[in-house]
Amino acid sequence: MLRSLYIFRILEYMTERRYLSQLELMVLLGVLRAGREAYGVSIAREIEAQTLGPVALASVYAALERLEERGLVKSERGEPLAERGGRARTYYRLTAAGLRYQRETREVLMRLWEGVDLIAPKGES
Amino acid sequence: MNGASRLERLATWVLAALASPYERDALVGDVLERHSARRNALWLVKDVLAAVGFGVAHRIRRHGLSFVGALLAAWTAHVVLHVSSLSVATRASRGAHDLVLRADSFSGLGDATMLMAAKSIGVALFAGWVLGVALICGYVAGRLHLAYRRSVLTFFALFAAYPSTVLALQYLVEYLSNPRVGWDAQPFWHQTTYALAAIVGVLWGGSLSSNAAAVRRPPEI
Repeated sequence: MLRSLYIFRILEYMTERRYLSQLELMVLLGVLRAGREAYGVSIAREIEAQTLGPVALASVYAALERLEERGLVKSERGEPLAERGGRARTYYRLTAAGLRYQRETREVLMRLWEGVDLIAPKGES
Repeated sequence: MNGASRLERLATWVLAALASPYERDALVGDVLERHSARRNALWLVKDVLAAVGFGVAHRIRRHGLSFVGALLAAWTAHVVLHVSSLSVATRASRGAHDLVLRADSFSGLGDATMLMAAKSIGVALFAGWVLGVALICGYVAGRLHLAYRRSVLTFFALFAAYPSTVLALQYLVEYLSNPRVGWDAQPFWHQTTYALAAIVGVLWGGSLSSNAAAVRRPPEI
């Protein structure tokens, strides 16, 4: 019984996605860069400014939903605004876990990037 | 929203109906805000289409299995409804005819009146049966998927009524294109009765399931 439970725990662990996708990571950093005014449009603007490509708002919200589920960001509803048809903005900010995650990811990525320029791809020596 | 263009109103309506439920109101507001800054219809359309795509993906990810299950159950219920109705239609018309023949021996009414009465009783029995079975099916389908009950029921009602509606229209078009052949009203009314009874039954059953489910509705995801 215990052994089978253990197997299920391993399976669960294997199916859990522990790392963020590239878009999720970009949205996480977009929230950080936008600061107190981090909402859908401003986050998309931050990403567009760096990637020079258009970003669909729906994809930003899909990423924010997953980040919020993982406890990396938290949301707060603002006041309704006339230019948005009387709809309120939802502001996001990083939680302590979110801040920790981006710091750790940055360190890992920096270590991985170190010296990569010097390595020639196979067959291009 | 008073000054909103027709395109913005359409975009709002599409997003409210099809976008992912997660922060939908904020998303609609963001799309409108970005459109008012850019004033580019193509961008608005792109944003709306992307939101619809992500909305569908969200639903599949969250409720895919139960949604497919509900549709399969609806399809099975539809087959049961259709097959049982065919058998009931024959028995009802035969039973009504026998009943009328027995009544005719002492009623003293004419043959045409009695035939009409037999047909009416047959149609009423048939409609009652279809309505009853559709009501049960609608109830079951409505209970199977609480989050998307309305979509499942609409799909189910259209699915159940579609073949009969097509056949009824076919009879009507045939008659209108060649009226000299003469009008055999029975198949037309048979199919129309089936379609109407199925739609009413499914939606009625669905509304009953909605009342029952309201007591312990799960949180909207």
